[in-house]
Amino acid sequence: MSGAANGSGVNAVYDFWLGLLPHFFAQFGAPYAPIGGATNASNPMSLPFPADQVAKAASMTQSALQSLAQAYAPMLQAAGGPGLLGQWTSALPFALPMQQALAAKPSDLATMMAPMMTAMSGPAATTAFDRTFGAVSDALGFGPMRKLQAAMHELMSASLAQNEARTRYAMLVQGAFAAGFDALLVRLAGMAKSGERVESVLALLRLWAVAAEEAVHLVLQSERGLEATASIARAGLAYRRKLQNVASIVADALDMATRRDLDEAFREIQELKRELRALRAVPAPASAPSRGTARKGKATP
Amino acid sequence: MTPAERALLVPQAANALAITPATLARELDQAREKITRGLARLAKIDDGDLAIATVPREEVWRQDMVRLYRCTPVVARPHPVPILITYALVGRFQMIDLEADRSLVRKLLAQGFDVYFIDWGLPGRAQRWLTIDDYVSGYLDRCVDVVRARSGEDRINLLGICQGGVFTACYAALYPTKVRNVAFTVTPIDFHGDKREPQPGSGYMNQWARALTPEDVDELVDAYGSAPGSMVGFAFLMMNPVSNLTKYTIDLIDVLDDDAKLLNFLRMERWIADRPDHPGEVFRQWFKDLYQDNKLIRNELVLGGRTVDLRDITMPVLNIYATGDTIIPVACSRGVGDRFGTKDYTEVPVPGGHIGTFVGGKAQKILAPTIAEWFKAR
Repeated sequence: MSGAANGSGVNAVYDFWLGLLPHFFAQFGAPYAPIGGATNASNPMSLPFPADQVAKAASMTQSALQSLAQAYAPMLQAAGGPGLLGQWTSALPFALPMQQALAAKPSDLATMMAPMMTAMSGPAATTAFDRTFGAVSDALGFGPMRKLQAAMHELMSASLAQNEARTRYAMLVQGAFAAGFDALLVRLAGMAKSGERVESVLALLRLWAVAAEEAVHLVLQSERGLEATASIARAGLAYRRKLQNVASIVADALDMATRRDLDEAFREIQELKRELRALRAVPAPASAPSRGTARKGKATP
Repeated sequence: MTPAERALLVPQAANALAITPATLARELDQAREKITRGLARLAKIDDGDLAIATVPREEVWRQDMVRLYRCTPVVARPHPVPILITYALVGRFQMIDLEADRSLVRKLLAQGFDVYFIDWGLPGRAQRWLTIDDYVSGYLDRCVDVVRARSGEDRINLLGICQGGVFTACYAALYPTKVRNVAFTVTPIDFHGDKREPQPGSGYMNQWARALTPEDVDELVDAYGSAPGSMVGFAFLMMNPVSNLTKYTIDLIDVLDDDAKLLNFLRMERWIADRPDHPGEVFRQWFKDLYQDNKLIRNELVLGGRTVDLRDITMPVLNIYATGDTIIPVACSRGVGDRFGTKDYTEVPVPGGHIGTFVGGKAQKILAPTIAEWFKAR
């Protein structure tokens, strides 16, 4: 009942967030470097989910704090608070890490296939392909190779469009983060005026987080932000459809059931279930069974 | 802000900083010690420690991936009219019984109720064609009939949560003779309510859905079949991207240093991660008919050839919304009493956010007692 979450997608989500942590700390001028060896005796892989993921996050945070201490101590010694904020300012913009993270999905097949696609896209390669496989493959019933090649080209184009959409989105987020930092500066200046002081670097990071989140909301909920989000969704869908097309050509060539075949079968099953439900639906009784006849065991209506 | 303006502001802002090398070293040492202790705590945790939704119960019906459970009553003679709880498809039912001391179900049981709940299970590829009607007039109707038969009551109490609240509303409108009272919690009724009262950080899903065209939604469903749970979960997390970074870093430090907080955190993470795939056709209807066209409150939603008319909800209605809900904006839930056919409508705000309604300390003191008193009085 309480077992680990379903599917491998769960780890992908954690991978995404944990993958961002080094960039999160790097933007505060503390290059992330994992502590050599384990941070304690525990092996995160042996822990139950999600304790394993949280242990990873904790270890990364511990490493990052060490980097923070090493980076900030001499800076504070030499230049105090202005030095610290100057460091943060120089760490702007934040676009690249976010952009990298967005583009670095392990499932990004196009990235892995890019060298092959480049090699296949040149005219010389196409001629060589045709010469090698064209007539022979057609004669042997391997015509789908040509379709497959065209589909691969479309996939590559879709991948490029997807990366463009991701870049536009990442630039928006970069702008939001920059605006968030500016808001933090304004907030701190206001605090200074009223005599308030921040004595903790973690408290400072929390103040930044509040300012950054507000700025992110402002940008991502603007018309431009919503359009960028919609674009990234559309580009992702287009890429997936092209990928499915490639898979479908291969499946057809190998006489395997395609996604469409399976979906059609499932659709028919569901329609039959609906018909069965309609047949079962008898006019509702005037009243439910009396309390005396209530079943005590497992009901099987 | 231009770089020059920023450069001018930095010295003023720096005047607020009283961080010295010594305080920095002390603070970060303390943080590292907390993390080290936390890692040791994590090393001792086993799967049993992270168990959620452990309320004693019996499976009383099943079909496909759907299960109906009856919780074991804790009083000798439970209230005669049972409560059937319907949760959303976008998350798992465990939220209603996350931990023994943060459990809506257990609190209702303690109030003397006979409590049933539906586990929608994990829809797979075969379930992509399921529609809202299949859920409402299929699974939910069967569950209601089972509970009616087992209890001997003609009409039972329904309690719907979020998306499950919408299913419950549809059910109550289509099958009013089987429903004695209906309670909604954090349920969107007016899907365009957020347009009237926009709030930063709130209503992302409403806005994202409206930023897409109906054709985009069709394309999404056609491309994915069912919406993968990880994709749905990721969408929720992207509603607060910065908080989700601090959650696993600076905010984690204090959590790691407290046994109870750590277990709470891990159990919540386990629930958050457990996102079922969302059946494609339900997704299509949810986005097009509800988020985009707002058909529920307009009495234009058609399920299985029948129009859902909220004015057919003539039984008493309790509507509970969370004042800090950013997933279902308050304006989507609040102030909809005049849309129902009932004259007995009660609206209750609870403090906290969407999920906090069920697990937050303040909300816990209000939610279950309010529901229990309201049902008992009717």
